[in-house]
Amino acid sequence: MKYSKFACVLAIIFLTGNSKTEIFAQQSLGFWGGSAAQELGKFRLNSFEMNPVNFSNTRDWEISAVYGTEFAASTTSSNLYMFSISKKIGSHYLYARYSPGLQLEFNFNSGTNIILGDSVEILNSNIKYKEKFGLGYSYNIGKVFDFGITFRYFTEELTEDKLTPVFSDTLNYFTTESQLSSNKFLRGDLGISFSLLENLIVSAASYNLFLIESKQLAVTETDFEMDKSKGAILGFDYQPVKYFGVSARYETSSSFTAGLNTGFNLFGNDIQLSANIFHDEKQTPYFAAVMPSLNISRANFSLSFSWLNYSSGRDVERSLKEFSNNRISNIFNNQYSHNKLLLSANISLSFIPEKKIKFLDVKITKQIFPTMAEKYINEPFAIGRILNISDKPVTVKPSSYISAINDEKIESPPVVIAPKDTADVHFFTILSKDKKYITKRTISEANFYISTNSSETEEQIQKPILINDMNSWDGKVSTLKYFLDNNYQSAADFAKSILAVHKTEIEQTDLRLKNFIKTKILFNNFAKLMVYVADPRSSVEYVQFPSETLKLKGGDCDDLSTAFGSLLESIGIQTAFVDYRAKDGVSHVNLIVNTNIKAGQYSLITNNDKKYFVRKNINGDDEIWIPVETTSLTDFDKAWSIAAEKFQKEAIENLGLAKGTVQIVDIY
Amino acid sequence: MKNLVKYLIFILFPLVIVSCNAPIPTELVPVNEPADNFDVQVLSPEPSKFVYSNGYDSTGVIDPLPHNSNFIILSGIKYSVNGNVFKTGTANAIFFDRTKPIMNHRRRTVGFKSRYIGRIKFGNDTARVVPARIPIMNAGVRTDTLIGLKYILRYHDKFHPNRIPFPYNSNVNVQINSTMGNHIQFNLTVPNEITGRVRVIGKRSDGNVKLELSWNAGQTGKIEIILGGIPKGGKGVFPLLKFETKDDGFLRIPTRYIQPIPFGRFDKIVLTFIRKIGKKITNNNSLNDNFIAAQSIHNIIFEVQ
Repeated sequence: MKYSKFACVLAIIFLTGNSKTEIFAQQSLGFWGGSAAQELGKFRLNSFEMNPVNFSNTRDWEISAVYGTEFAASTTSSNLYMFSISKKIGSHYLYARYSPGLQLEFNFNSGTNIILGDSVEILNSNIKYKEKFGLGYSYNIGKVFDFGITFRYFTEELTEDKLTPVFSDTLNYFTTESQLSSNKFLRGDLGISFSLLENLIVSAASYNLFLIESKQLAVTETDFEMDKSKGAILGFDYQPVKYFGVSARYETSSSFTAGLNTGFNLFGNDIQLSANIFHDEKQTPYFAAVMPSLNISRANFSLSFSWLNYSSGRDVERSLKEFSNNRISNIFNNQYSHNKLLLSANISLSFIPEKKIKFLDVKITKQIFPTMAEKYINEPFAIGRILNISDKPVTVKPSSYISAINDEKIESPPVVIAPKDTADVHFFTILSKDKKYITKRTISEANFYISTNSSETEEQIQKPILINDMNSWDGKVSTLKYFLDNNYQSAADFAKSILAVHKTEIEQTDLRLKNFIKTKILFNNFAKLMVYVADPRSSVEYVQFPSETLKLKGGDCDDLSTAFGSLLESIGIQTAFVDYRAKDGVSHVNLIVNTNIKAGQYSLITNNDKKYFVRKNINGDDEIWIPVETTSLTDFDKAWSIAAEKFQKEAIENLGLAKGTVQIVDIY
Repeated sequence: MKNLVKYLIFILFPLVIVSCNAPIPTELVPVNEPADNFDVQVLSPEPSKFVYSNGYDSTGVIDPLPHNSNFIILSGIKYSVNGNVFKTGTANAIFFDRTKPIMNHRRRTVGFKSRYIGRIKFGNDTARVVPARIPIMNAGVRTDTLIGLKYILRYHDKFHPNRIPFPYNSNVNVQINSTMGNHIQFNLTVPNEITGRVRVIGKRSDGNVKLELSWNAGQTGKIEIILGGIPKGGKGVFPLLKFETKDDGFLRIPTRYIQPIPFGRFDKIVLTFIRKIGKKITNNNSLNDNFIAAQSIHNIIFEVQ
């Protein structure tokens, strides 16, 4: 019945969560009072007694030693209490300790004395309790939940002077010998802790949950065994401000402890002061002891002093009957313990840099359009939010990797963040050459990394990202030019083959009209071949590369403008897209072409001032540009007239250029 | 601060190593647990030792009588054997002359001649003067030897039904009218009657025999319990172990004391409970170096299977 109650309590605690805190109370009184309860502690303050969850803030390796002196009535004894080593691997934490000083010894008279003539020889017995070593493992889940399991190996050794009479025909006498009998047992316990709030942690742990015993003590000697009753320890730690906290633990045996801790920083050292008071069911008076402690810690080193002061005097001589009736349950702290002074040194051998920054979030601002790869060199596709958690300015180096388009991590420009401040970092990317030709839209995984001064990644976030295919277009005319890059040679071949047919006509034309006549010839031939075909139904805009349009002999306005623009650019004629944005969201694109005719010589091609306009060339000279409607697939003059009329109305009369509803985008 | 910590470590480390020692043991004292507490003595009479067969009782349970010159002893004795109880009682006195040693064949002193000192009364009854014979081991042979005279007064038993009962739990006035002209008188406190019980637990063949002894608790502080055996075909009791414990009514004798007994040499085992009150008389020219006591004795004769 009592076990079912215990199991129920434990189950509830498991279901409701658990810890990154230490647990300690009488059954498991720690070496350091309340100091270890401070979340700021960088070190594991070395004991399962207060930390059955086995949690540690250690980042990598940590070694530690605890030395203590016990003060009895007139004598003192000093011991190396324990030596430990621990290692953190990701969310896993492993811990081992050797504890030669965790031993307790009792001498007692067996109750039998031998009368030897006028003298009396006393038969003595001795019992030693030792905790020889301990192992621990803990696992951290989501920064707020810790689960730990610990194993501790104990021995109980009873040495008795045994007396045996020998009766012979001539002489009777006694023989004496020392007999050793022992128990060995492995104790296993579970612990959990859960951060309810950032500064409030609740925790629970078992004691004596699993026991594997190897018994040699006779039944009549069980009075000397340790009390191995099962139970649970429940507790909380509340740290309302950085340098002040309270903690309490309650054991199901009705013992409890409570403590305060405070601290300050002195010349770069964290100084921590704490005091605990506790009540133990097996000890008197009601508050059996107080335990003040002092901890000094730096980045890789910690030194702790602790004084365990019992309220009642501890006689050197105690009753054997009392000992048998009220057996000890803990070697370190029990009804026979004396005042102790403890010293602990912890050394961190961390090869992992201290964490300085925290990745708060990352937002993907752009889908990836492979054809527009060049764009992502200058424009971020994602923006991350970073917090500097250190006390110094930190230079953050962002980088990213998208398996669908990158061969390696792509580094982005570093950002300096002030202490305790947050900043946005931009992530840029470069498409690998062999990963540009994507024929199908896919969802890929974008990995975002941030690091500081070392090459080690401190934080990482993964997000899904849409990778479009090669023909997908974001609908912005400003990016349409990226579609001209591909198969440029095919456009040049097409243009030159047509112009070659019209070689005589071109050669006989006024030199000033060369570009105009080439444009006209190319368009008339282009129009004869092409047919207007709308885009396929899709959620994204679809743009054909010029080579595809020439091959397929059709397309919509952006396909035809891209293709014809590509023909002109391939023979050195400067062009630009004209983007018409209607209020109803329907957009249109056509071309304007630089005739290379000086601004004052417009009459060479027309006297209608609505069919041309003056625009600077790449050298800054004013030249005559004419619009061309690439979807008007009849002849050049008609395409020019339609385009000119639309340009005059939308761009000039309706002030489209000024309002931004009409934009001219140079192809180069 | 960093240097301070460094120096602290350098100073503390040697101190730590030098001052390492074992934890202080806590001494546990057995109090209020009398059942398992006793003093034990193995009884091993030397072959040539002077043997005085009427020290504690008339069954031969002996030794070691104190090395005194004069003995005055009142003994109320009870036997339990095969479910029957027999009671008797005697008052004995013997006075040795230290100037007259008794030698064995190796010219070693094994005792002294006794002497007559006058008339002795225990209460209203005068003790008879009878020859004193004691067994002396001489060259391995037990010889009853006349050493002089002794005083004896027998109390009521089945052989002397008309005599007064042994004066348990009373004060007996002892008067010595010495021929030397000195008259000595004192009261001797007699303890109340002791009645013991023995419970044998376990079997010899299983190697787990132990005894649980109980008796009517008394007020004398300690009692003696003598464990002995009656030799096969022999007379008297061969003593083996003497236990001293609180007169509180209960004692466990563990297996390790019982199992080594050579049961094959004995017909029966005898447990003798002795409750004794001693008396010291000093500054008396006639009775210096004396041993005076009154005792209640219960012999239980039993077998161990």
